[in-house]
Amino acid sequence: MIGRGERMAMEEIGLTEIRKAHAVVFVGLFLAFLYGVLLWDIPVLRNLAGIAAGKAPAAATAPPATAIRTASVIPAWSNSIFAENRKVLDWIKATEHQVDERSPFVRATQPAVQSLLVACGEGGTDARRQGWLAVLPAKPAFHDAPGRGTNQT
Amino acid sequence: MVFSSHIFLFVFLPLVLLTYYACPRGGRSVLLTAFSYAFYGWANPLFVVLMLTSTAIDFFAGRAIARGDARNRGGEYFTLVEGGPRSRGQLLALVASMTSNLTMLGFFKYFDFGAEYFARAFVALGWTGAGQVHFLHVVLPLGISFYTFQSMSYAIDVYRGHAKPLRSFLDFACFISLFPQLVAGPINRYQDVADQLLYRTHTLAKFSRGVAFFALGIGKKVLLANPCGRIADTAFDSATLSTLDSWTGTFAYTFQIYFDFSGYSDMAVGLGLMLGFVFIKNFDSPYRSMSLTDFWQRWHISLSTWLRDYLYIPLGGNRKGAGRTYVNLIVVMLLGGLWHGASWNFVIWGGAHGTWLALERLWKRHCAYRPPTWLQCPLTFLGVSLLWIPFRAADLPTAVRYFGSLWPGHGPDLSLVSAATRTPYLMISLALAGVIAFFGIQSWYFTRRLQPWKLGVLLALLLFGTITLSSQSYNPFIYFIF
Repeated sequence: MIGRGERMAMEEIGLTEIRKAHAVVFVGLFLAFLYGVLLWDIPVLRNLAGIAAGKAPAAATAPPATAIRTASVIPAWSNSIFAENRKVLDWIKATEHQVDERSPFVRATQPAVQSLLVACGEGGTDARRQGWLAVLPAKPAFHDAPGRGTNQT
Repeated sequence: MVFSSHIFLFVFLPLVLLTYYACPRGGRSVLLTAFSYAFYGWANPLFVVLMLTSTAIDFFAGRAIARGDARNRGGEYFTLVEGGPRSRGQLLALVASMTSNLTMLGFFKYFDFGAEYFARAFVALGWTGAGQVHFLHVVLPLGISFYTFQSMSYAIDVYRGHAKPLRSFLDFACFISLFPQLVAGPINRYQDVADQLLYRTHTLAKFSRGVAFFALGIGKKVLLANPCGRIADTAFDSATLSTLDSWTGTFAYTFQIYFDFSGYSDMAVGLGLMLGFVFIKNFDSPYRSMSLTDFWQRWHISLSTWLRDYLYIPLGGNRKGAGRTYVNLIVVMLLGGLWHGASWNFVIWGGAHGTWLALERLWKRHCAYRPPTWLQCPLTFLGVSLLWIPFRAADLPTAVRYFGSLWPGHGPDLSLVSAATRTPYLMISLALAGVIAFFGIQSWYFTRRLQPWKLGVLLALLLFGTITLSSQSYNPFIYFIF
């Protein structure tokens, strides 16, 4: 049964023309994508939950690239962002030897890592000096450009 | 939680879809409400209390209004007679609903702003102690402007006899908190979704359309709005700008705000369709407008129609003479500007739009000359783009300085901003944004016929958008702060 409100809205949106077989494949691929990444992330999420609960990080349970990416989505709970990010950062540092600098995925996640470092008070130019962050871009970011507090030319 | 975040896309959304379709129909509204509250409380759980309070007040106000009619004291509720007499109790319930919502909105959004200017006024009058006043530093709860307007629309629609009152508190809580549209709209009025809360269909075609909308939304946000945003942020944060950089920054922000907000709206409509809801259209290619009046029929349609139906028409609309119509237009747009936030920039933006609308009407009334059709769209676009400057600038002095830098010969010929923004990626994104804004197919029409090639494009957009997303640490939508 379609209610009046839905009927009115459907009139505006118009009928969708799609073949059933195409819809099955399209929706199937979409759901496979969502659930595939969720399943891939479960070990990482479990590990992060463990860290948040005070357990020692199990560094070998997930590829570092996944860990770095997941680290960027730690919820910004009011007043606790620093403490939570600190734990994740410690964990990332503990797994630093596994970071493959050449991986395009790791390079793609650099901004996420950098923002995490900034949140932990280790951002900016200093962060790039740390050995494990050699993957960060050598070219100065806009924030380091002249007129922004540094003397780079 | 932000739609364009990893946690939403790959944890929250799969869990919602799985449990929603596994749940019997009777429990789906409860489930959606629970997930929506979790979604809302993710940033700060205390905000949930506020939304629950607002929901409870409006639900009971609606019930009091409904029960003012003798037919509604039995089992089922009926819609009140439109234009029929209302008792004092019903009026009081409506006033209570509106007062509580507006008070809440006023306190959280405008208290610090008002207190600061009061203190400044006292200091100017010679009471220097006023400058030492400590403000409360009220934190703005996410989406409060959107859900208070939605909540108010319920009590007003029930009072006017435009919608049937709800018996179930949970259904009402679901309407207010529905996560796809909770934080940044579209502002769904109660009468538009009232029946869908009780009866809605779930079909494969509808779900496919939802995925299509969602993919388009994420593409708009991540692939168009964010690169344009990088250019605009660089320009607006810079102290010195060349003329070319200023114009580039202005147009970049013009496209950023459109693709950011319409991208969010597409994602919201898409998520709604996946869950069986059909929301209203929020954007209709606004930059192709031929006049500002036309623009406001295409931009943030849910807000402009809300303001029209609940503010402009009750103020008298255009029924009380030409002069009153102009005043009403300016007042409504001023309030619309202020709705966006407590800042003089928004007041100026709203006031300028209101004045322009009034002048446009005045012109049409007294002057037969019309600009050539080919010029109307570029002129409107140019005016709208320039008015985004006070909207985007951090404060008034910045806006004034930015306007100054638009004149030729102002600022350095070669600036660092150019070096930072003239990368092929950003420039191609900006050009693409312009082409799509002016010539692209509107999302609502694009998703009507989903042929295989379109499905391929949409899946590619989803995949590419998600990969780009993972390289960006935080992707808030512009309208989250309103």
